[in-house]
Amino acid sequence: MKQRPVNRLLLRLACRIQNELLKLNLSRIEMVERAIGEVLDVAARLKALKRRMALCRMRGWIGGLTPLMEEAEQFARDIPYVATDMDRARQAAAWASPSLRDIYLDLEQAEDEFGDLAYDTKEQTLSVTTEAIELEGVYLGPFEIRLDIRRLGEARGTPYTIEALDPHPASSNEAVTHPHVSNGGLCAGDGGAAIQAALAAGRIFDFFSLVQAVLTNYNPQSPYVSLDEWSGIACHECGYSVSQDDVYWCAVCENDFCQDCSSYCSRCNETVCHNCLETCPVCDESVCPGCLDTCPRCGRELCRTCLEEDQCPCQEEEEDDEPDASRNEGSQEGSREGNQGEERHPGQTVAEPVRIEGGAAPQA
Amino acid sequence: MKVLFINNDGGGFADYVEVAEGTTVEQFFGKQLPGAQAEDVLIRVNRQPVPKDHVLREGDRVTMTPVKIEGAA
Repeated sequence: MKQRPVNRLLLRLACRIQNELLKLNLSRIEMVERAIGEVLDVAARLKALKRRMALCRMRGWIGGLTPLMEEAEQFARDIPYVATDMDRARQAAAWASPSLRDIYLDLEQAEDEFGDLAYDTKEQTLSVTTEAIELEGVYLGPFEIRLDIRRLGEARGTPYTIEALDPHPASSNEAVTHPHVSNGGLCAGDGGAAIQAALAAGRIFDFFSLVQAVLTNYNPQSPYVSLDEWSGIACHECGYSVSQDDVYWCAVCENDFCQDCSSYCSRCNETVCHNCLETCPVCDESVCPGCLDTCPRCGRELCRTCLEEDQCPCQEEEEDDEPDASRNEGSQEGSREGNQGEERHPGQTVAEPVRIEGGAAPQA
Repeated sequence: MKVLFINNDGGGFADYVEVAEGTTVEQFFGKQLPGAQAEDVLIRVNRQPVPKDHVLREGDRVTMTPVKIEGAA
């Protein structure tokens, strides 16, 4: 096979990628050290526990042994976790740093197969563009898969973003440009581990191929917004996308809601969202603001039905106060008359107690 | 003989595996990814697409990458 001339830009890029991957490996070694430290910490605490147990046993402190046995039980539960963490860290650090040649060949392959491998020297990003993607009849447009070379060395996080070049986002959420992309982040699902492995090994072509394989597929079990509801109506409260037939319109705030965020007024049966519903303090029923009324005696807000049935608590409070009022009537009659004269102002009906003959409440 | 096998289906591990002399790509694929359909996987040998009767050689680099992967949210 004829040898191709070396592409200097790709070679420089391969060097940069290799440097970042070296940083990644070193940070992973640091994580192994931390995990070993945790194991040693547990071991030290176990040693101390063993000493205390022996002391209790030799001195016959049977009561003291019980909490120590519980502590041992806790250790028995914790040890597998710290050991697993350490092993995970070890496995993650076990990736051999790829050779410069391998990285270079992978870049060359990405350039050959994707055709538009682009390197932004200022931002240090490497990107390819997919063809226009259409899933189950929903046009989503082409996407740019952008790899941030500087972030390749980070042990955590995802060093790449997905940008919709001709965005056709879900109607319920502008940030969702693809069923598995939100705010430029891809939730790779089944491809997550393979993508991470490809990046850690500097297999740039595999990385782009895997991300493309996620973008060109649709998993109806776990999308940010399902394709069925891509052009649906967003719930004003939770943002969930609902089809035109399943939308609930709140008669108070006049917004659209999903079934979970809407309810109804127990008095007029009008559809009302949870935020617009009030609770009657007497019957505890949820009612719309239109079915609430003000008690003319005390100013409390309660539902019309309770008001009509004269169920306002002020009625009871008034009756409770009555014996005291009659007991003090003789001695305080003069002063009460005087006070009444002082307090009565035109239009001050709420503060003024009104005695209702026969229990019938005045209509508001 | 040994070939480097990069399995991008699942964990994305890379490892050297022992194969018999004269093993074709089709046989290798059937053994490594039993039950998978060839049209659902991108197979490359030394970064090049090859026919299914291509015979593997010592030190070959074989990658298998699924063309459809289920994302999530």
